Amino acid sequence: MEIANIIFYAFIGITLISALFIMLTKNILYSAFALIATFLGMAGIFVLLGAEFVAITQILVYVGGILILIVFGIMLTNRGKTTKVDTKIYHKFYGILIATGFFYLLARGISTADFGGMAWMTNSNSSPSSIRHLGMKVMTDYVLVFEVIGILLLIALIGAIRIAGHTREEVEHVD
Amino acid sequence: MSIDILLLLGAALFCIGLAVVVTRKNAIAVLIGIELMLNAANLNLVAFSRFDGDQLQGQIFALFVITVAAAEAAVALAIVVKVYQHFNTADLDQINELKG
Amino acid sequence: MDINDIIIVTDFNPLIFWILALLGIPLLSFFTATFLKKNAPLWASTLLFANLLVAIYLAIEYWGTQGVTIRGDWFGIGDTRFTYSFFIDQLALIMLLVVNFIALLVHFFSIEYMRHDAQKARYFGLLGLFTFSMLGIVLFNDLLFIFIFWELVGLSSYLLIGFWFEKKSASLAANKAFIMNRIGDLGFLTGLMILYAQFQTFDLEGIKSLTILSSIEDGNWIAEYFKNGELVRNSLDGRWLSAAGIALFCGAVGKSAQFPLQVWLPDAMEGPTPVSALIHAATMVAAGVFMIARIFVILDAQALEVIAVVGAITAFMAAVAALSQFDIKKVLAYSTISQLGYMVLAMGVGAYTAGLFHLVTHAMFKAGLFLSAGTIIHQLHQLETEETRFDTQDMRVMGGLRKFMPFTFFCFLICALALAGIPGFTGFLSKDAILLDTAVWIDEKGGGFYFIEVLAFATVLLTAFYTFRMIFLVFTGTFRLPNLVDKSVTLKPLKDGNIFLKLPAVLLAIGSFSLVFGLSFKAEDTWFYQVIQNPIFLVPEPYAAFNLIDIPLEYFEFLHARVVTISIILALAGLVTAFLMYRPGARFATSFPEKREPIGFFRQISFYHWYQNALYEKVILKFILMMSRWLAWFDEKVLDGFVNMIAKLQVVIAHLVAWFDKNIVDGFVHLTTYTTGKVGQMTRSIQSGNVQGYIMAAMAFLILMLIWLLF
Repeated sequence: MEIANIIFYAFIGITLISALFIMLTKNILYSAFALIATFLGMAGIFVLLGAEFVAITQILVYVGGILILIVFGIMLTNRGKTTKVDTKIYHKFYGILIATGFFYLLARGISTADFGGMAWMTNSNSSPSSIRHLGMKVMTDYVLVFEVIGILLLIALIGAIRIAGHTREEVEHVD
Repeated sequence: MSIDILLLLGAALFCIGLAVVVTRKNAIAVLIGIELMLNAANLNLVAFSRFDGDQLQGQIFALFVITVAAAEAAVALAIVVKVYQHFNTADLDQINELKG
Repeated sequence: MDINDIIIVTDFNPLIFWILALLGIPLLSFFTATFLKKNAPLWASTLLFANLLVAIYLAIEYWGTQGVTIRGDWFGIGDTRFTYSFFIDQLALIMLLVVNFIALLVHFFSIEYMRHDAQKARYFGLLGLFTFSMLGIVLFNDLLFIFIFWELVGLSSYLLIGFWFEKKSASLAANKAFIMNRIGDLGFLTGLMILYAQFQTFDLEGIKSLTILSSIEDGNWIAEYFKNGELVRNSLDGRWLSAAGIALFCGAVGKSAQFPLQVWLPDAMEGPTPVSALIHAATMVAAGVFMIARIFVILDAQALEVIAVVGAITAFMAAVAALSQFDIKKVLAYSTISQLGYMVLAMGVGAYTAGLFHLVTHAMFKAGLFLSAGTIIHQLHQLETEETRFDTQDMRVMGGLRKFMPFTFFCFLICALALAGIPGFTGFLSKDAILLDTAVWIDEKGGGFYFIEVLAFATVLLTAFYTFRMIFLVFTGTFRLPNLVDKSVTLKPLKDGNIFLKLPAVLLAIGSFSLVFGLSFKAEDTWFYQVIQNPIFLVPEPYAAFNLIDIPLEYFEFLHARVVTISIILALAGLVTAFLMYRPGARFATSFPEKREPIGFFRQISFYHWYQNALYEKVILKFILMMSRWLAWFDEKVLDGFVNMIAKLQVVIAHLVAWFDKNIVDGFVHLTTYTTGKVGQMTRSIQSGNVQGYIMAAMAFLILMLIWLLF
């Protein structure tokens, strides 16, 4: 067994276990932290799959951005409380049933489809990727999408500020 | 490094995310579940991209997904905070004024 | 001859304003007096005085003319025209004067008589209504209008008899008068229908003209005339001609209190005494006679015979009844019936002028008698106190009033002399004329009709007797009231009335002197006879009665001396008998105050007026009550039973329907609402507002779809 394979399975294990932990724990804060582990595990898998830039972005955006936001959200929505930030659980039976049922179907579909045996899979040349090549692609073929995504981010930013911030009347009221 | 195991992992993550989304009452916990599901999709994209001749379309799409996820998280958390201010709770079962 | 050429709408005539004034002033009095309360008597009297002035003006203006007709279109239905018409002739003028004069005097008298009555405004209003109705009868020359006002007179009479309706007897008397009049009016209506069927008009002038033109062929009464250019030929059995006259006479029987409907008049004395004077002595009861006078010329021989017989019977029966009454007003009431019988008898024998003459003279002296009696009653009423209550109309409490009320005594005496038919007073003139004409008529007729003459002359004797009996009992001897009441009570002194009571009585007493009509003792020489003459009968030949005009005057002259002698002797005989029986200290006068129920067949017949009331009660009333009881039973058991059965059936059906409605129909409705509600509830629970629930549902369906697709 190659060392890369061991690392690969280790990452898979980290991802899976932390994800399961998220599902099993009641504490939101714990699940947020477990999410970090999941993201990190996935980033590792991405690296092994030759998508270094995606992995880095994953860590930057998710761990550095979204998780911070989530933690802030947790803190903002539990102000003044000293107890654990537990979430209540419902739909337990149906939720698990649907999830496992769906997983069974997906797993059965994956195994039936047998992607690994397909021609284009086996014939593919897995040349190592280059971030430069990616950058060229983004700035040429996908430049429109890139710009749109930028605008989307801007709008989301403004929208988030507008929603979470004080309205004008509230501002005047505060003054 | 078979693709099947990656796809199974993605499916598992998606289902775990689904389970979290469905069962948790707290809105932030639900958001966490959504992030998991998005990541499961990303994993699939990157995994297929590994066997793609051009190698990059999946990755670029994954990047966009991450970006959108970030925007989504920002807006969603803003809403959650606002909702909390309004209802004084973040539990989704109590935020049901529109029910019939 | 076209009917439209007979009934012509006249040109405008200013007389119409005067006629409308005559009718309008009393009507105004009726409408306004009730609202005036305290001033009603004066106001009504003033209006009546104005009306009398109008009547006097008209009398001066139209005296001596042949009669003025004013006719106008009333309304039309299709080709049928209805007109109204007024006829002002000397008879109408005299009646206008008499009615207005007596009405005014009665108003004047009532000012004092009704002074303390709380309802006097109503009283004077009703007097106005009565005057209006009476003048309507006098002025109109259209049978339909006469009938309308005829009914109005009946109504006002009813209202005035029942004026003190809180008294049970008064309201009963009013009912009796009304019902008796209704029976008579039924006859009037029948007569109207017969005449209308034959002539298709109610206009009296039209009826008279067409009666002349009608003929009797083979016992059929045929009327031929053009109407709107078309020939109309109406044929009836000849007996309908008599029937029409008799039917119309029935109206007079009711109104003028003739046998067999006269029983209402004595009871009508329940009304205030001035009302008795106005309505039940002078005017309303005369309306019947006046109506006969208006239709006189279309009466045929048979109808006239019936009228004469009824009149004679009435005169005699009422005179007998007047002999033994205790109530002064009852005596006067029966004497009124008796005198009305004379008038009707006169009409029946064709003594048109004599009958009307007696109407006028009788109106004067009878109103005078009633008003004098009213004065006595009123003054006696003043003596009544809380402790002493007595019947103020009962002659048993009177006696010797001459000393206390000399003025009233003289007025009463003059009028009574007129009533008794003593020469020098009006009653003598007119009664004598009637008797003479009756005698002439009976001589001409012969046969069984002599009993009429006997009755008529017997009535003269009886009249004189009861009149003087009344005078002796009331005015001579000693005042009996103090002996009847408790000795400890001291009575106020009895005295004559004031000017309101005196003036009308004295005016009427003056009117009772024969000098008013002329110096002669012969009726033919009076101005009344110059003005009003016997008309000619217009009935076609075989049915027409012979006319007194056709009798040579010598025959009248020949009988006159006899008739006058006999009647004077009879009157004096009555006077003397009364004097012997009832003079102060005589046997009957002494025992009179103790008399209660009459003993003996003759007296009972007299006192109870031939048991006519009892007969009606026993026979007709009993029969009607039996019928009505049977009908009530039929109504209650059969008709109501049927109705009740239907009602019960309906209730049962309704219950069934209600059950069906509640359980089946409502059941459907409730099922629908229940289903809708349940479905709504079920779907509502899906729309829980729980996003996670939606996600679960979506995923569950996705899974199910995948399972369906994949396996």
